Amino acid sequence: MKTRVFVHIILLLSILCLPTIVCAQEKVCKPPNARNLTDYIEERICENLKGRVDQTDPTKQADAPAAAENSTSLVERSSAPDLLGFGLDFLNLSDSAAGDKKSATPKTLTFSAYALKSALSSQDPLDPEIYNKNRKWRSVSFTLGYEVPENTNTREPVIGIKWLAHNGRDLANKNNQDELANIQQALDDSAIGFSVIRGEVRLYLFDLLQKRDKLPDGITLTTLNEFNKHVVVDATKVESILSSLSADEVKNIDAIISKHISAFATLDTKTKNAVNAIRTRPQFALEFITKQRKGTRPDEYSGVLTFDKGMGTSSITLNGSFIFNNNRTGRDSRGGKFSAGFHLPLQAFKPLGYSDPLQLSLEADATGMTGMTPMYRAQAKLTVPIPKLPGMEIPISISVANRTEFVKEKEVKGKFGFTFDLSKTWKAFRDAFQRIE
Amino acid sequence: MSANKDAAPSSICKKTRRVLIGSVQVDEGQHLHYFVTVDGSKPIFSLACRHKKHFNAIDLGPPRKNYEVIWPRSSADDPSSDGEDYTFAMSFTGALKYTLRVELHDASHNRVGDGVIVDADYESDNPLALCNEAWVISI
Repeated sequence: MKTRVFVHIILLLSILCLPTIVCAQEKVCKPPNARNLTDYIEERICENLKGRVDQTDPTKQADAPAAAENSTSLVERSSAPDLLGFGLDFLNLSDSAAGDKKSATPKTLTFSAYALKSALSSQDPLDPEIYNKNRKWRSVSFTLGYEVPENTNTREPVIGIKWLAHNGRDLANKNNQDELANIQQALDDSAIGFSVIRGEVRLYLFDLLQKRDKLPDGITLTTLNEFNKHVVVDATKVESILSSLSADEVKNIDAIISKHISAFATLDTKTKNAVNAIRTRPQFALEFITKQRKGTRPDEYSGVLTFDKGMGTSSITLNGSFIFNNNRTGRDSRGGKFSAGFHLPLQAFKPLGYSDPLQLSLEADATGMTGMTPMYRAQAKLTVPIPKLPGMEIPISISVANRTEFVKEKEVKGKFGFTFDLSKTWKAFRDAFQRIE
Repeated sequence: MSANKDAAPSSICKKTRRVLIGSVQVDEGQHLHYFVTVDGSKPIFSLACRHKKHFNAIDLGPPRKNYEVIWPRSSADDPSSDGEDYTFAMSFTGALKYTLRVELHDASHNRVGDGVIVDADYESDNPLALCNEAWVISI
């Protein structure tokens, strides 16, 4: 019954998210506020370049490690948050409804060595120089927390360390410098092109207004210098001029822009190519994680190899783990686990942005341990960014397993949680604070 | 079935302009002092007139938060006396925010009068976003 309710919740959320997905496909060329001449030219250039393709690929994992029993992930991602991530898994629909048996909430905290170093040295962790200089510190992260076995209130510690051995997507990576230099070169040319366009459009409008019997509201025309200094940078005055233009006059401006559009088309293509190339580069991580269990349950130690690869707008993650269970009452067991996940962003991705996109993940794993029946699980997960709360997300998952670790029964389980990536929240709040100042 | 296969980004950044003077006269002995502040990992920006690039992020060395450029750096930088459009272009592939401040200084690096030509923030979390600010300079 609870599972059915949960599926309905997921469907409802998907429907609610649909307008956002549809909106993500629209190209937004027009700035929200009144435009001065520079803004108007940008808008017209943008309109000429419609059809650009966005790129996606969020890989930073802020939720509980997949090894945790109640995690909403089956698959471990290669990278951790740059500063600090916090994961809660709230709801486990397989719990008994009886109050005594309801599980406590599992919690994990993931933080990077870079976060520790920045905190101790009082440096701005988002300063480009510091950020790039400390790439090795950003590659190491730690996980501390506890998981809660089903239908208990027992808190069992989870401790882990992860090393992102190869991060092809780091902008500071030497392999990405050529791509970024291509953007810089194209930006230089577009800046020249923009100066040419703006100069021609500015003079065209001045000449046009000089020939008019009646000037638009709020416009007085004296010298070209006064026009440059006080009219073309004043959004109210420029809007007044724009609203007075005939269709042919707008076409004339577009004709000026199209004469020089090639520099912007090149910049557009080079930027897309660079972002596409960088976001699809592979990442490779090594992780050690242990679950220290209480009572007669065995302690678990696992080493995990993780591989992430972007594929167009999506990404695939593969995990291979060696697991050792230290059994207090019987024979130790050892074995392995293989996991795979396919991650499909449902909105445009903003890699340095405050929020990751709405994302659908399809995940599966297979575990084989000595003396135990193999366990297979499959899961669908929707990760929903919380609007207006940067860095905060709600992962919702539904999974099916042929058995659980300790019970040989088929199980269908629904969960939802909460994750928090401090670096994104910090950026958003800091920028908002600076705007207020 | 990627929902954003054909999606286009908001390619225009968010601009918060505190000061923008559309035209500046740089007299003998005066210069413009550019202050550029960046948040992110890899600044990509460029200043150009209609004829050439004057400086860009790569020219100014390794990525950092604060850049300062004194312009003109040589007589070759002089614009025409009639006034010429200058564009400061920014890419957001590796940056979240740029703050640009342009001041008119005398030979002793003191601000001339109000002397602030541009003081503005430009922000976008879209790696494909591009942004421009422009004004006219006369010598």
